[in-house]
Amino acid sequence: MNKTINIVIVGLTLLFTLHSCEFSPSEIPLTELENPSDNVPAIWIELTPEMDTLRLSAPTWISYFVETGEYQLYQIKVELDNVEIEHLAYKSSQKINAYIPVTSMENGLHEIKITTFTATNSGSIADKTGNEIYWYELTWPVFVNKQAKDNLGFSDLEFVPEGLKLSWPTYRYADFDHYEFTWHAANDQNGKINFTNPYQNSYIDNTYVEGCYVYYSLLIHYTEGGFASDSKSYFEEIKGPLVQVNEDFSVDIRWSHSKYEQNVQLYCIQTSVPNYGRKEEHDVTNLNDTTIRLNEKIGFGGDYQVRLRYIPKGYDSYHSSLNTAGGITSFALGDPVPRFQEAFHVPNENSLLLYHEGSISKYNMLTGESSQAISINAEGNAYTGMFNGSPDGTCFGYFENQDYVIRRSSDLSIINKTDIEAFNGYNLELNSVAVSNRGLIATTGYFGSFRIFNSVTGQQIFEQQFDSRYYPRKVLFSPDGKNLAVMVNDYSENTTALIYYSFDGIELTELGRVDGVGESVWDVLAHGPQDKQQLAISRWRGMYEYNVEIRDSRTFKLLHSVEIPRLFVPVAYDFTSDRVIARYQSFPTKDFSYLVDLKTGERKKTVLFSGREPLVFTNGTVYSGNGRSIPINDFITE
Amino acid sequence: MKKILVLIMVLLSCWQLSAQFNPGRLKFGILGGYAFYSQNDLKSLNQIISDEIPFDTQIIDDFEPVFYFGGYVQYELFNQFYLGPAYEYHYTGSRLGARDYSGMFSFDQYVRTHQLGLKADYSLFSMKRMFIAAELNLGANFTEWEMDSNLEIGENEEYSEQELEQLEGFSWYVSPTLKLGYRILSWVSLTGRVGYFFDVNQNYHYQNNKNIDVIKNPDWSGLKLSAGLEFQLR
Repeated sequence: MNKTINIVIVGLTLLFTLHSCEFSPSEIPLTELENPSDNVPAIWIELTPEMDTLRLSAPTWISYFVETGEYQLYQIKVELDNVEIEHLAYKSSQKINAYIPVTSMENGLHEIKITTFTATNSGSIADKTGNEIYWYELTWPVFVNKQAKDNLGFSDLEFVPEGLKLSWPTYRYADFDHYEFTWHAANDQNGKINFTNPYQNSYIDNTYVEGCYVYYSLLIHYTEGGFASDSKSYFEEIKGPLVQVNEDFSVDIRWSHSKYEQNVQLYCIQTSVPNYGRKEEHDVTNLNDTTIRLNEKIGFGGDYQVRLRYIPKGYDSYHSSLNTAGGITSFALGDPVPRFQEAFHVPNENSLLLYHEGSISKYNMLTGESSQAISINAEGNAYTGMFNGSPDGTCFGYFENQDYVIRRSSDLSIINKTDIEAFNGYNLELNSVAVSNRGLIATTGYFGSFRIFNSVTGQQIFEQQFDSRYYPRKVLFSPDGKNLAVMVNDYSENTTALIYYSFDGIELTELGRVDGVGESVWDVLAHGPQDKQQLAISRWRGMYEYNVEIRDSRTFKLLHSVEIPRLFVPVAYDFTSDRVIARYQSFPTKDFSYLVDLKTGERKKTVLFSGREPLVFTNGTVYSGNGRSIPINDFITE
Repeated sequence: MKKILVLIMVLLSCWQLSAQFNPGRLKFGILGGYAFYSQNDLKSLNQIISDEIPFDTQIIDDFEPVFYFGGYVQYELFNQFYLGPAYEYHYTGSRLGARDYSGMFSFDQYVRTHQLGLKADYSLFSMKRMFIAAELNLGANFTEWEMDSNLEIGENEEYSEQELEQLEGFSWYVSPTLKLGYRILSWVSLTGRVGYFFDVNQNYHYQNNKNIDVIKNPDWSGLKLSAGLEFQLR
């Protein structure tokens, strides 16, 4: 029995030991699976900016999108120069944005590496836990140039057969958005075009026509906002047309074809003429025609211009309002002489004393030579003019530094300077000043004074204050210096009167007067040369009705009186040939003027005197301030 | 707390009875057997883990019945009524896992408990060498619970990950049992038992952090079958 008990005890002890008091888990059976394929499945990626080499000039964001299909995307890793960019902006599980901090990068080449991790879809534990992966590496060269935005703009403008080509450097950087190219033409043909291709670095303006002002602007827009800009304006002058003045005063115009004739709608020929001339405009639609004869004949005494415009196709506004460059040719009738603003005759030297833009010179009418000019700082006003010659031309005077300076006409040397108290502060308060051959100066003042000075001493030797009825305007010495003509406004008669005085050095004595003298006070009277001792007076009879009276400048006796045709105004007297030129001064203008004999009253039609340039008429030749002269006899038309 | 006071009062009663101690009334026994543990919470935990991990797994062990053993000492307080302390050691476990060419994953749960209580025994029937008794065990479970997860990737474990969580807890139990005995000798009997184990009022926590609420607990409830030897000092 004891044996049985021992067996039972031993059995139970063995049982306890076998189970060792702890749970022992079973082995895990192996699940048979196929290893993942070595043929890596394709994935589809989208990388922006779409550049083979990422070119950067400023910090930017890159974007990476991946589509892995049925293969689960585990991770996207972005490295810049082998340093992982930790802070990626996830736009979705498949799309990330990464910031490239260009400001902290060196110029030059860098590298971005983008690694994409996906599942293998083997179904294994490693696959499901992301430890068995396919990975795809993308390396992206990066070129950094932080100075790329400097000096962006147009680089070139050149002509090519297709037109006007504008070029600019390509901006092939990641932050490029688009080029905005605009053009503004003076003919209102504006336009704008956007180029989204950064390699598009030129534009050919195939609408350009010479003469047109065009303004091109280029804006380079960046994706992050902002832009760089440049502009270029351009114009190509139209070659001025050739002008030929014919013997009958007709004018032929010839011009060149446009280089861009395919863009030209028509040729526009437009003239600009001096006063009393007649403008004209011609549209030449047949582009094969490059000549035209103007309808109007040319006149004398002013500058003419002809302007050629190439009217672009599509331009439908007034041709005259099309602002173009070049194409202008100036021309005038007559032989070239020096230009002048004021002039008077120096009979003894057969010359003209000329004032032009602060210079005084002499022009020899026989030889055509000009003397050395002197510069003066003349002071004057609209009434006095800038300088005054004595009746015989031996001397002339002008204000300079508030002194009245008198020079000899022969050698332009200074005779004397004197203060005749003509200024109030800086204002010259004179209506007229005259200098005699014999050293007298006469003035009329703003406030009705009439004064005579000794030019040598500067002493005032006579003064008369006109009463309120008269207002003195122009004063003129007779050739012998003994008499003076004073033109006054007569307010009681509402006319202009010429009072003629003799002056004995102390007192004035009225020799006579005429009323109704001229409408334009500056063309009223002229004294003849010393040997003639004559005074010519334009006497106003009515609206544009004049008589010219020739009087003895010593006695004021009427010698001749001729009637000027109505609406013509006497503008130049030649005492050597006793003729006066009468210009038509109404509208519509006529294409001729009159040459009137001061003795006989005979009228001859002559070339049109146009413009308002100062005229000097002597020895049968007319000199105009626009630098031309004509022998009048050669220009008598009938 | 009240339950602990009751247990102390019972022990004090025993102490008073010891004044009349008669060694001939003392018996002790050892036993071993299989228990069918409920462990529903821990089974559901396996299911949760299985659902959460991204690959297919299978439950390899699922708290199958495991051998347990124990012992007791009883004193006959009254006629055929014995009472005394009892100890039993129970353990079980589960394994959730997967294995393929790429690696292995396992999630193992280990639970073991030391049951300490009082065993009351009252003889219902006795005929010649055979006897039948009713038993009632009352006491406490002191349980340890480990969850060990392990992931190994690659033939050479290029990647591995292991996590071990250790918890412990306390619960009350009550286990009514029917005992069948065969008296081999006058002082030794062979016993067999069938009973049901009720595990109540579980309270578990992590060993290193008692602040974490544990909502799923080991549950030792279930049928128990055992055999043993019972010795009587007569």
